[in-house]
Amino acid sequence: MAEKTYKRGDPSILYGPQIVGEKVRELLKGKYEIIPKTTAHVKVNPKKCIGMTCQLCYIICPTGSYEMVNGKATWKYGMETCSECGACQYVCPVNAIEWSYPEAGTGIVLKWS
Amino acid sequence: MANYDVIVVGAGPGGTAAAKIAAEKKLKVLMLERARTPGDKNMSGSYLFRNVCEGIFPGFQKADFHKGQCRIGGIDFRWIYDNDEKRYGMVAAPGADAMRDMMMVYRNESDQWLANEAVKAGAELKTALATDLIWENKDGEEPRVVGVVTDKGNFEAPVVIDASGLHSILARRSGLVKWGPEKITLAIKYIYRLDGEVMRKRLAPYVDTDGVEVDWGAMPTMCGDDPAFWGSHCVGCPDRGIINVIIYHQLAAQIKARVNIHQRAQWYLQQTPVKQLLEGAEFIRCNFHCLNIGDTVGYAPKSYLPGYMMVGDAGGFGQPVEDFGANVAQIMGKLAAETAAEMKAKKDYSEAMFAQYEEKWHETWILEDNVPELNTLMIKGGFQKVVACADDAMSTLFKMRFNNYSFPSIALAIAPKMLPALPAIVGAVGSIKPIADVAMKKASGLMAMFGAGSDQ
Repeated sequence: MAEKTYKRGDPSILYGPQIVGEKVRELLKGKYEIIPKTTAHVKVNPKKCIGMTCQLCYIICPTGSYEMVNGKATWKYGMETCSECGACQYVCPVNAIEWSYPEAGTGIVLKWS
Repeated sequence: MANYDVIVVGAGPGGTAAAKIAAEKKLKVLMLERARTPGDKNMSGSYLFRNVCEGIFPGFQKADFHKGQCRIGGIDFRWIYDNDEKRYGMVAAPGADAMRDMMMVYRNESDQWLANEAVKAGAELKTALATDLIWENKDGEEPRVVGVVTDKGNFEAPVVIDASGLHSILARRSGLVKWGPEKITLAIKYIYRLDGEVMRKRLAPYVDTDGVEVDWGAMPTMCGDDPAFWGSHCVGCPDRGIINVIIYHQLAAQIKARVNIHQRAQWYLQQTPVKQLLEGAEFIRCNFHCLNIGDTVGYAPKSYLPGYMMVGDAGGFGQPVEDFGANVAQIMGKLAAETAAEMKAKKDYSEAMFAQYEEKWHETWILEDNVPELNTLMIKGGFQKVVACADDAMSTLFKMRFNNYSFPSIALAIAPKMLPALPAIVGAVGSIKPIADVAMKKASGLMAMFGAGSDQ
């Protein structure tokens, strides 16, 4: 079962209301196109993941691909939502995220108009 | 037995430049691109540079895809607002003569055009994801790269040019590159559809009669981790009827604040001028990207191995001050291809030949911008203090100018506002000389651009 303990450290008027995970997915539904992928190109190593004390991939992912499940981060929605931006691999403090691109010709298509 | 003379990984500005030059020099070139078509995966790099581009791809300026783009009748303005909506720094660049060398492009159109030019020159384009390097270990020699592993099979060549961008898997495999969150900027872009005529009317008050662009408060290299300066700007393009809202910031700062970038974006959308601009506009798309903060602090220690050369973002090479990288990548790509051609002509693929590539690009202007003192000042020094003071001063300037105050009275009003920044400025005196040198170079470049001529 997913448990969410994320709290913004310092409530600041420079940010809007908290948007993370499900809210991001809701906001972006239908706003970009993904050519179906065949294999999961991002994996989280649960042995390395430090879970609820960190949650950084869950907080920072701009597509809401991550979810905290049983106290560990998982790339739960990635196959449908991941935008291949690559941020998560740099965000993880313990290098638990094995990151790659999806296979050629699949994945996100970015458009201007 | 090698199948190709050169394998170029990635068909962006750097890769296409390398492939085109190499093909023109009669090398057998394979260009690998992971997207269905070049540019499919790209939201960034909206500026390409006329002179560099035209030098490698003659006809670039007149290519079809420029039609209806922001440079023509487009207006790019940025601001940062305080919570009490008192501060504003603003940009209005109507077709911007001031920045004549920069051309705004849509990368999914321009990359396709660039790749086509490379293919016309004789390069072969394949859709494949390069996942690893193929190494050869000979006794008594350093291991060398002899090809790439892809999801569509292995390809061999004595030279691999890696132009596959910031997240280059090959660069990581080569062992030359390892970055942390201070090197990376995450950017998102909301794209809105709005009638062109309506947009023109709304943009009218922002047009500066001088047509001069004022960049303000957006660059993460400058603004460090102060969330007040998270980059946010709008680009309105009346000819296409779209508005881009772009939010970007350094990952390290996001980690510190523990805030998702959409949270900042939603805040930005609530600011009065943004709201006014977007009223009635339809949110149609969102794009995502990571950008390279191109300072030397994060440069790969070297740009080559035997058999392997890195170009542009793959090695973290870029321009720290302006935050551009496409021109750097194109120049490096060209030099890498020329080096490969020399190697083939001499039949010499020794490490010394690859080292020449690094020597060549170190001789260009690319390193000129990379003054470590400047980076240190920006990131760790008192620069944020200076920015904060200048912000205050600038908002006063804008307000007074709108109210038709004379310039001397404006100067008198803003001078005291810079006082708190003095200690920071004095503290930085030790590093002033190299920074001043860069500033002088930039200033003379700008003067030349304005047609004022140089002092020679």
